[in-house]
Amino acid sequence: MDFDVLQYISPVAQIAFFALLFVFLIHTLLLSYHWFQYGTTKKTALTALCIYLAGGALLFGALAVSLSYV
Amino acid sequence: MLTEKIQLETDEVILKQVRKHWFFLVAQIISFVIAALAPAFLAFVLYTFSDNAFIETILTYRPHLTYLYTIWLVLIWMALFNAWTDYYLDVWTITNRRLIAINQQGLFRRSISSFRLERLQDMNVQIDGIVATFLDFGSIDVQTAGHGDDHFEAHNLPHPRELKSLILKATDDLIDTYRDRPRLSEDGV
Repeated sequence: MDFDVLQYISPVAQIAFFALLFVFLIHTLLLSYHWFQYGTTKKTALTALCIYLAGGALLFGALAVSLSYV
Repeated sequence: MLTEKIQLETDEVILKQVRKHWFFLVAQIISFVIAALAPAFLAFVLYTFSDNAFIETILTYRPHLTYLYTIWLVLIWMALFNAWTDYYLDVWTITNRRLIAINQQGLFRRSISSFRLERLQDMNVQIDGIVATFLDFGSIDVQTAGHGDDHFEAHNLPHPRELKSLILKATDDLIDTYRDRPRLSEDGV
């Protein structure tokens, strides 16, 4: 019986993508709670959140594109 | 925000808020950049110095490797902001009445301690090493009077001698205000 590991890679990669997205969103909530609750200025917290989300969106975009080739 | 949580007393003003020296944040950022680039560098080295069969194997799995590398970058991005949060939320607040030290350790551990400047007994500044001397950062060790937690310590603060002067001046000013207060006469009238 042939066992082809490649046929399992794509579903696993999809699960990994959504799991990572979930972890990222929880992490974003935790970080923004800390920044806005315990930070010294609202402007810094807002700037950090924008940079974090922009970088995250870029990376998840790249991840989604690379997922389509897996 | 933090300043609302501190709940300043009447006539209490924040003189300064300090975090660790920027050198430690930059050092962490550099280590994350190295960690982010390491797999790409390794792939380049393998691609350059390996034989054709190995290169063909790498090219076959290129989409999978790219996918794994992007996951690695996402994890580094998250770790980078964890490190920045740790840096940003570790803060010493010096007011004209108190010194408040907040120490953030990870996301779920946070200690806040403070003492009134009247309790200040002794303060030592320590600057260790060539980097600390050139960039002017060091540790401040504060001894306070009274029982319980009578020892304050903060490491890698920028311009520690200036901070010491500021705290000592604030303490002197506070003691002077107590001296200047009108007192009751000895018979209490």
